[in-house]
Amino acid sequence: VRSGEDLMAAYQRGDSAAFAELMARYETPLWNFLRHSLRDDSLAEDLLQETFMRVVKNASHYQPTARFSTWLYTIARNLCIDHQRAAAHRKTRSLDGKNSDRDSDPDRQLHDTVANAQPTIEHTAIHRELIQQLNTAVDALPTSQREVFLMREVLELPFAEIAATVGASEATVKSRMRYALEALRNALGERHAQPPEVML
Amino acid sequence: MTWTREQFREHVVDYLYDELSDLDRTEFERCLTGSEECRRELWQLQQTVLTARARLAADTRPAPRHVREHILAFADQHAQPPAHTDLIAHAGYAPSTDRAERRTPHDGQAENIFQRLIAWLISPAKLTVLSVAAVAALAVLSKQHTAPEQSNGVPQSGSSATVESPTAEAAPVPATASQAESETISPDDEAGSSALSTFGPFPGAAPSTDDKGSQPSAAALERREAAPLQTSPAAGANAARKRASSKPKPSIESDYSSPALDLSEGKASQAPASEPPQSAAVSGRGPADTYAPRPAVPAAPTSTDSTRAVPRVQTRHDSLARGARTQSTYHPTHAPNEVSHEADELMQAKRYPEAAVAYARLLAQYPKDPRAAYWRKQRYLARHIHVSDP
Repeated sequence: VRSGEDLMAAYQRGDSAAFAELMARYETPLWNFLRHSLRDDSLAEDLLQETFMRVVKNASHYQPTARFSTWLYTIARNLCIDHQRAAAHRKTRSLDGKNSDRDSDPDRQLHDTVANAQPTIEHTAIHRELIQQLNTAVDALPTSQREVFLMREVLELPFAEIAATVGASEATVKSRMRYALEALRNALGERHAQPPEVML
Repeated sequence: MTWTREQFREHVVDYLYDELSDLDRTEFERCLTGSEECRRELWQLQQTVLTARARLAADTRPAPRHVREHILAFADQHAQPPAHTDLIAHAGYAPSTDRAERRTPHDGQAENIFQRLIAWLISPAKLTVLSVAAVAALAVLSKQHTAPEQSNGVPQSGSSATVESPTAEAAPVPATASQAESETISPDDEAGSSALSTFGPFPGAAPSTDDKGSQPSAAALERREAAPLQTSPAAGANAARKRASSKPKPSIESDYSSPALDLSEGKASQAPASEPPQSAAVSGRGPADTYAPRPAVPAAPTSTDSTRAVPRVQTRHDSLARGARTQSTYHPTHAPNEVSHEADELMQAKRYPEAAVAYARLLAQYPKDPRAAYWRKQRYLARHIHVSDP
């Protein structure tokens, strides 16, 4: 199996098939990382596309001294940070607010105009509810803890690579992970769960 | 010594993700054995990780196909063509890495032929070869000037009749000089022959096939008038031999008179007397008129500069070796139809990987060809079919 660095070097020499292999290897974890980081599929699509386009544009500057996955996830992380900074200064409209000043129905809210992606099957709804509970808990995490948690659980990166990606020490990354797990434990109700007697 | 609670918390993540050393693991498990609170906290964190992992796995989706296709198309458009060093290495030359390292994003397709020509000309290797060619040409010219002085003291029997004859101008002595020049210059060095051509035909040089119909210049006439003094005995003997018989018969005197004459005699005996030697034709023309194929690809140069300087010449040789070009159809920006048709035939034969390589090679060698957009599209199709075809 060729490493990401080898595939990138092959693409630098003009081998487009190597880039296709890179995409096949990294697009799904990166896509899910962006989805869980941004909570917006269309925005995640944009950033996924932008991430790989930046890889293509800067392919000639890539040096195989760093791991390709680290480089790729650093680009994606920086794009997420840029978006979140921009979103912080952007005026957003509440879904519970009025749809439009020119709307004929004054009681109609913007939330009513959003397409409902929820399936009607009951068990799927319950399943989604559990997922939504986790998503809410993850969203409540501080950014530094959330990105470490998602990199570990979605991208399945080792802590050393997470540390290289976020630019922190490995001990700091592990500390952030522990805080994230403790926060999720409280949010998911595991705080009051009791272990079996055999463990005690 | 048992760990404190804080030490336990510091290592709990390592334990959960199995990144503890053996020593720390022993200490951690000893801590678990002695503390119910530690066991409960570890179990709760384990459940949290398992729950989160299961829910994240359930919410995992594949990336949108249209995004992937868009990115792949973008990557295919921006794929760097193979570096010139790859082409050289493919043709048997030693690869040069510094060229690839210095390659900029606009290097390749955007690099036009003039930039390549300038880069090729100003490379140290070519300058060296050009300087060698210039020195050799000056040496030949000085030899031509000193030859009459040396021959003044030697009785030249029959030389006056030989020189006055019009066939004396086709004497092989200048051709011999040019052939000797070709021996000193690398056969792959086009600049060498072009540098020689800038000096014009040597005094009394055999006219090339292109020059036969043209009127000689005033300088050439002056040189022809001065030719009796510059014609060597070998030239006279050779001209007399041509008049006497079509079968050459080298004299002993001429064989010992000049070592370079041996080459001339040998080639003259192989080629018809009416045809000038090929090297003379090359040296009599500029490189833009026609292109004379070189005999063989030289051995791999040892210096990096030499490999860096070769590309444009090598691509021509590469095509010539495949019989893709002829002298009359050569143009650096247009690929020969045969090569393009070969790629099309591979595509029609559904040999997509080979077709993709053929189109990529065409794009790399002829980026300015009007069919480049078509080749790029075909290359993308070939690669796409190849990738998606199970």
